[in-house]
Amino acid sequence: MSLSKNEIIDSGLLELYAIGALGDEDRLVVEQALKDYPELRNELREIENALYKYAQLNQLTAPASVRQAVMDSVQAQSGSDATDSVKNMGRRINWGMWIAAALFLGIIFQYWNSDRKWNELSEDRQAIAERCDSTQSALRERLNQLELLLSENNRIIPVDPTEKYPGTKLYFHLNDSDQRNFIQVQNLPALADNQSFQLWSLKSDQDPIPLDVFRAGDSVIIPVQFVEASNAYAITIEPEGGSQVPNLEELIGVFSI
Amino acid sequence: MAKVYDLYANPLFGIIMRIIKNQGLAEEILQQTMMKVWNKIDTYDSERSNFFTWIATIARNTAIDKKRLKSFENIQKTDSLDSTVYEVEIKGENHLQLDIEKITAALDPKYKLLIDKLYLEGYSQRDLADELDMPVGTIKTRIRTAMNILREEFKDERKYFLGMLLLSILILLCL
Repeated sequence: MSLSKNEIIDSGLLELYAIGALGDEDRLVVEQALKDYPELRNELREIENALYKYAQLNQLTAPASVRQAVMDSVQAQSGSDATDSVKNMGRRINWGMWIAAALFLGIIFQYWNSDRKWNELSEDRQAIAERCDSTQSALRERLNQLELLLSENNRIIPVDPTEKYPGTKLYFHLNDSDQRNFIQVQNLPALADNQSFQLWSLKSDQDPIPLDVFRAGDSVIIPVQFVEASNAYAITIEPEGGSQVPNLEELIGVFSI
Repeated sequence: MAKVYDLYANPLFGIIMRIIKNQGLAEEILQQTMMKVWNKIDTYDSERSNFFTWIATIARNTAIDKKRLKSFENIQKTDSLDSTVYEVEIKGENHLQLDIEKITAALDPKYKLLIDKLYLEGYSQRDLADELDMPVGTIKTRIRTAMNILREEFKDERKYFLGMLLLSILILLCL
């Protein structure tokens, strides 16, 4: 239903609209008329103002406790909204903090792990380097020995084993020009834990001169002291650490120069 | 929200009390109304009505909804003293400097009854027509007449207020 501006005014619909006593259908008619005839709004405002004053004339004082309750509720709701925002922000911050903490711990673990691996690798490297140095040193020594053994000036004298140790097999490498001697071990008798081999220099009209004390396995070359004008060298089994006087009962063999 | 409350709480409380006729419930409904206003403020459309019309509608509907509840009848039965208090307050209170006697004297009781029932007590046209055994068309006509009278009276009030204001200014200037 569409009414003209005057029909709306004369019908009393505006008054009932302002009072809030219109049904849905009439209310829509009035709202459409307000859109179609904007000047009706002034008419409506005057009616509304009159009703507001009428309501003021009939007003009752609401207790102060209601005002306080309303203010408290509004504040609580605002606080709740704000708290929700803070909580949401807190959750975001919490998530961020957890992620940051996890990253931080990951980095720390990675750093610790890398450091541990680095230390292990460094220790391995150090051990390998030491073994390498040791091997290199041993090889260099062995090379020197080989050079000496292969030297043209070398005299190789086999041991003359005693009857007690017939299985003994040794070679004495004598080098007068370099004044260096070696014993090449191929077979030696077994030793007790508290025993050692000892080399002696034998000169005519002199007591045996105690030389190197050693324990050695098979197939090794042992550098030993060079003694000028020695007539022979002998090897005995002595107490660990050696002796000043040879135990002839434990004579293994003699190298006759 | 404090400003809204201070401006409108008492007129709203007057409307709510006339519908509910129970002090405690009326206070509760006023609080609910204010919270609805606070929560629905973004739905207010100034093109459709002024602010007081909007919140008065909320107050009236909240009170009517409460009145329709079965629990309301029980409260009314056990709390009948409020009606007496309500009558006393209505007669005794007028914080505005407007002359209610003058307004009500200008308004024929048959018109005042319609405005009170529809505007202050939340009756629908149909319910009022049934109660008064009066055609809805008559109610519409009488309401329009009543509102015209009120508008004229309040215009006079405004003229009176402006006149008093001008007179005060003139007296001050003369001094």
